Amino acid sequence: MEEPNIIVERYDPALGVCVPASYFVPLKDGITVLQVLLYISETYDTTLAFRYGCRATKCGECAVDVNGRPRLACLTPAREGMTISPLKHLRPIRDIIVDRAPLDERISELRLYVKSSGERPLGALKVPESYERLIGCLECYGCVSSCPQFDWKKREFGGPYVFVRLAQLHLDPRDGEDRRAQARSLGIERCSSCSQCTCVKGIAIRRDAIGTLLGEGKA
Amino acid sequence: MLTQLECDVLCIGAGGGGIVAAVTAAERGARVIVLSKRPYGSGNTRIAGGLVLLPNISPEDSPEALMRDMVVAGEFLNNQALVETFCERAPHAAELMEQFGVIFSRKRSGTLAPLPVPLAGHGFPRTLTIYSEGVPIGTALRGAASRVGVQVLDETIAVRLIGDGANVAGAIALRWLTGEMVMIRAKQTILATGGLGWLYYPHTSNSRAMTGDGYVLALRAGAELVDMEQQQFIPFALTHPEPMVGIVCGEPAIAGPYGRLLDAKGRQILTRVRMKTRAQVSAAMSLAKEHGIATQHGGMVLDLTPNLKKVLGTKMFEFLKRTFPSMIDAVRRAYGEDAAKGRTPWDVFPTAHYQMGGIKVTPDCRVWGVKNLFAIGEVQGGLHGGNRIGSTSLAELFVFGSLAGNLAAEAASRTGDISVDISTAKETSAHTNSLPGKSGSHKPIFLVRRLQRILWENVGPIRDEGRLTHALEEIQRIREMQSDVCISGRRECNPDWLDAIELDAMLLAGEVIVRSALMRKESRGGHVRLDYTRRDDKAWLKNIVVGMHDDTLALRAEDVPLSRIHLGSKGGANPLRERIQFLILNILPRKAQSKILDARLNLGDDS
Ligand SMILES: Cc1cc2nc3c(=O)[nH]c(=O)nc-3n(C[C@H](O)[C@H](O)[C@H](O)COP(=O)(O)OP(=O)(O)OC[C@H]3O[C@@H](n4cnc5c(N)ncnc54)[C@H](O)[C@@H]3O)c2cc1C
Repeated sequence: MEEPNIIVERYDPALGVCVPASYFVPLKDGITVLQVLLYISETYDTTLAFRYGCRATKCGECAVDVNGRPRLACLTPAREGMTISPLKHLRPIRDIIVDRAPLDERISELRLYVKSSGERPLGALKVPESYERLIGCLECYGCVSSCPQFDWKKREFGGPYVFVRLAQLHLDPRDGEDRRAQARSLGIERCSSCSQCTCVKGIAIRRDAIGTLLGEGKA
Repeated sequence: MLTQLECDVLCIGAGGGGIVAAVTAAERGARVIVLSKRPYGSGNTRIAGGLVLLPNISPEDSPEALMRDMVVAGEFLNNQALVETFCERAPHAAELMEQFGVIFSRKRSGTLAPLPVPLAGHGFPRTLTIYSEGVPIGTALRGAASRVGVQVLDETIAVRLIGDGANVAGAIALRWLTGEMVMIRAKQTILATGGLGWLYYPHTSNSRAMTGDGYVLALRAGAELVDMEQQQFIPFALTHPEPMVGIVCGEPAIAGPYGRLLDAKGRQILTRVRMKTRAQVSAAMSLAKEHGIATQHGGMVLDLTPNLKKVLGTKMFEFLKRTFPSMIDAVRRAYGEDAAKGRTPWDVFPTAHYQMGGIKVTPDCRVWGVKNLFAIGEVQGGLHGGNRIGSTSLAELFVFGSLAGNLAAEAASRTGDISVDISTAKETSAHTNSLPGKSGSHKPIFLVRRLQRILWENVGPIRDEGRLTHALEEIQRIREMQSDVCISGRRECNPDWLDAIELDAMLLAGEVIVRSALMRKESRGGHVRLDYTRRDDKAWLKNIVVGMHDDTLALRAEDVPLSRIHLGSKGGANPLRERIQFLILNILPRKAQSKILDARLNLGDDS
């Protein structure tokens, strides 16, 4: 057997920690992290638990950490020696699956939906360019893994996902709530001297979302 | 242990159809539960291209014209009563979507920016687009569900409908993250589980959830399925590298006015690709592969370079790139920058995209032959006949989601006690519950992979008696192995367990497709047979209807009532008008051409 070249940090709920497991995967040209996970599961261990959906960078189900950074498994080229692990700062459930529920719940708690004042649909609407850039958020929750402040247990801090959603709403010309005030009450000032958050699809979270909510620049 | 829950309306599926129905019912005061096999709001709705039907943009357009286009493109298999309901309500679908939170692309001036050209099969421009395609629909759906307080059971798989005789009254489901079984009693149940493209993995554009569960849930509850042999294979998908096989990179419109479709020897397979329906182009490519020469990757060649030599072609390609950004992005990742710019040809082959056939319903989405059950979205059958024209599906989710949500809420308010045959329900639950720890010789995933290969090779874009019979034998063989599967003992997040449940649905859904395909001895729509290459309106203007009695499938052919649109009607693009427009345009100086096109295609405007 060949030397192992891939490490998967598999969360074990009985032990309450991630246990690293090493595998050998032939890294053919163009192979992605998702392909590696499928290979491991179909070659060595069908019980390896991971999520994926569309294989085409659109559903957001396959977000994982690769070498400690959040990535979409279907978009990321596989590399020798890489480590795949669950997204950080969320509750791991099993292997690389994390609990999405605490962030799902934020949507109703924080009213993360358009509170429209009754505009006629399909009518004239000035849509800011930064809205167009932010609305591509896949809700994969990868960004919270890159945030040094976020912890799913601490509700007082919003974190990058919530701030992206608040900024979308702030920029939505139909929304009537004060989303900047909401962001302030969720500790967004902590972000003003930090720009570590990253998005698996390349959304400029610090500039377009946090900057907008902090009232920086012309936004 | 079996947890028991109760509600007025149960929605199975949390894509567009399921959530729109759930929100509508909840707004009418119903207590609603939604089941979602995958994280909710995911599914095919979220990964869609975001093309949404808006009829009547053009003054010559009308509900009749839309209906004609749908039925002519559907090769007359459509359930015309259902199409009529759809066409009447279709103008409101886009409005409803904005009320849910989506914003359609606007021009800089703020007014809507619909696509100025018709999609394949449409006679008029009728399409809105969304910034970032289907993604914001998913976000809006999740927001709407939270706004009205719908209870979502996430990553929860319905395994069987429950009830009493022909009355459906909820479902048994597995909560996959925890391994717990639940029984949900419901006064009214709505099936919105989407399609079955995953039966053809990796040759599919669909999301992993699309294993045909809803068809099987309905069939086992006494419903009938109609025209299940009708799959839409969208013509242009990537053929390599391995992780990208089957990922869609365009519908016929992407060919542009001068794009050529060739086999590996450079022979043209089909002319005027852009004017053809998806079914026609896919059939031509599959036949060419059968008779002619495919590339080393098993594909055909889509050569867009002739477009770049003309003003019209260049402008159209620019426009298409902007309209389908994620598809161009996929081409870039697979074939490189030059290909993404249209400068080098694309290696392409059809991929399973949409299931036209499905659960037989009345025009108000009630499932035939079963009480208290609705079916909406892709799992429903009959709206699209033998071929779906682009942008109608996302609209359909809002049209029928709101219709069914309203009717279900109203019916629930009049439904008294829920009667459930508890012993059968408990038996099903106990069976599913006993799967972890089962010892045997085969891991379910390998049987799933084998089935997927068999289906693609034998009941994919090309069929004939020999292949179909072979597929049936193989399905039988896999079934025998299914009784000897081995499943790890863990309860929480157990992939083997999920695979085993999905395998069970996929085997039955696959068998229904194969048997229906065997029965239809002609080629029509998405169903292409080498041994019966022609459409035969005399013998086969019929719907193939499948039911199940005592675990055995029963098939019959029913005449299609042509209530409104009759054979011989014309629909879709008007090639003559287009040709004249092209001719006039080509006489003008290049600069003038450029100006006219920029204005028509909104190209100067970065909306
Ligand atoms: C790549 C792609 C692009 C497309 N582009 C367009 C477009 O631009 N315009 C257009 O009109 N149409 C488009 N379509 C078609 C359209 O997106 C789909 O037909 C439509 O979204 C289906 O919606 P749905 O609600 O029926 O199902 P889906 O959105 O697929 O949702 C199905 C839901 O059911 C759940 N589910 C499945 N089985 C079970 C079970 N056993 N128990 C519980 N839950 C279950 C799933 O988890 C999911 O939540 C596209 C399709 C694809 C694949």
